[in-house]
Amino acid sequence: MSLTTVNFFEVVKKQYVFKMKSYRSLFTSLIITQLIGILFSMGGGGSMGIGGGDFYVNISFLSADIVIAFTMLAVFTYGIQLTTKAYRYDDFTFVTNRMSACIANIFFLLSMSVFGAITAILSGNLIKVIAYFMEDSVVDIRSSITIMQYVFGVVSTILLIFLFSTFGYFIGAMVQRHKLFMFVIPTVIIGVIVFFSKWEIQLVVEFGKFFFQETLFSLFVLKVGVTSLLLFAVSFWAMNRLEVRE
Amino acid sequence: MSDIFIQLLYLFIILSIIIGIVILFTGKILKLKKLRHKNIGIITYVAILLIATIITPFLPEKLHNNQIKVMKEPISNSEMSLYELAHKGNFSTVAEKYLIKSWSFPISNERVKLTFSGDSYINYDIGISKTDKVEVRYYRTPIIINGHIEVSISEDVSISHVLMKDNNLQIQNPNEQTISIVGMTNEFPFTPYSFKETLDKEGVTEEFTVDDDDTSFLGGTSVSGGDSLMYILVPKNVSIDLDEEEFE
Repeated sequence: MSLTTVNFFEVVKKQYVFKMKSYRSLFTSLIITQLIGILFSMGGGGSMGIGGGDFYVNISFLSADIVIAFTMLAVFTYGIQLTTKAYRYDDFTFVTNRMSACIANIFFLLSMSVFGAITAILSGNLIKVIAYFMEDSVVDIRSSITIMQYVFGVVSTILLIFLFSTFGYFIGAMVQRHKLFMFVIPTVIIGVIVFFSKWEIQLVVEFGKFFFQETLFSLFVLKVGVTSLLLFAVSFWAMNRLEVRE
Repeated sequence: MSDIFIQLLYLFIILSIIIGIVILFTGKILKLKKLRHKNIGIITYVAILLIATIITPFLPEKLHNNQIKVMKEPISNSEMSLYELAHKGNFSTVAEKYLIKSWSFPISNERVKLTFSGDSYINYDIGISKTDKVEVRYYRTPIIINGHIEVSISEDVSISHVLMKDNNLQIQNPNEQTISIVGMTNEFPFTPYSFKETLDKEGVTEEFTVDDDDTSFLGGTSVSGGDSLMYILVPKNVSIDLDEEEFE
């Protein structure tokens, strides 16, 4: 019997530090994903053309959008990965319970989201530098934004990436709860999309508008915060009912 | 001067990458504990991104062969169609700033034959000249991106040849010339806070706002202008022979 009183937050902190040190490979993997994203971005993320008949101007748009999208996909898979047995058993290195492990995972995914978002945004500058040497005409057509708008943009990127990681964590947790969810979740998602398309409701577009088109920052934070909280709550419920060690 | 700057930038970027790789490998070979840092890959990546971020504001606009000029100042509304404007009657006052080139020919007959040739098609309209000469005026509006970037096409690009031979006005249209531009845009998480506000501020029409297109929830870029018109002015007493099909 141990006489040492274990502080819950100390355990969470230790687990978080452990995860940050042990799962370095996930950061390396994220960087490789972003490098691939940068490579794809060089092909352009869309174009527009305009002309008066005698001339035609083709404008290709370059930004770090693809890198951000790749980062979202990457953290989504990391979210799933964290719920797998191999990663869950690492938690038993410490005196722990499901709650502390789950909170440590939240902080780890949040850290990955912060790192992923900041590097993804900065990669836009690297893309511009590369384009400058590769393309004939490069024009900065970015809308001027205030420092506050820039901060909102950075925080929004972090939150969007975090949202994808929580969604991955949720799916992973549900699949760990019962393997049947591996088939049920995609079926339900596709089924609901098809069901609503009968009434010409494009759920993917509506989902995109709900999160990506919110112009009020506080409301955007609320939307992402509540969604993430719900996903984590369900994930915790699903994980809490698992056997300690199978 | 700019060439030297570009070469220096090249050198700087290549050196940064080489230094990163060298640090990565020498750390292992020399077994230097400080250099053999486990996070060296992450640090190198972040360092390259930071270097690119520092360089970016100093990169000048790169415009191939000076075919285009870019202005980032508040501009006048150039979304109107030159052809429609020509019909409204106040064409000369509004569109004069878009005049690229003009030709003037004396005439010795009351009939002028007008012929067009060439692969491209340019809108044209006919008006009454205030002089006793046949005037041909070529107008071109700049391209406006996101309501605040004005891209003007150089006078050297795609200019028609206009000749007058034996009262035959010949307009030889050039082959359509394509100019490719790469435009750096805001990342999509930034657009809800910047795009709509910018459009409102610049007075760009509502049709370009993000709400109208269902698929544009990731933001968007508006492009307008880029119109051209050949305005042919003949004295009041002179009539023009046209190929009717062509005129339609």
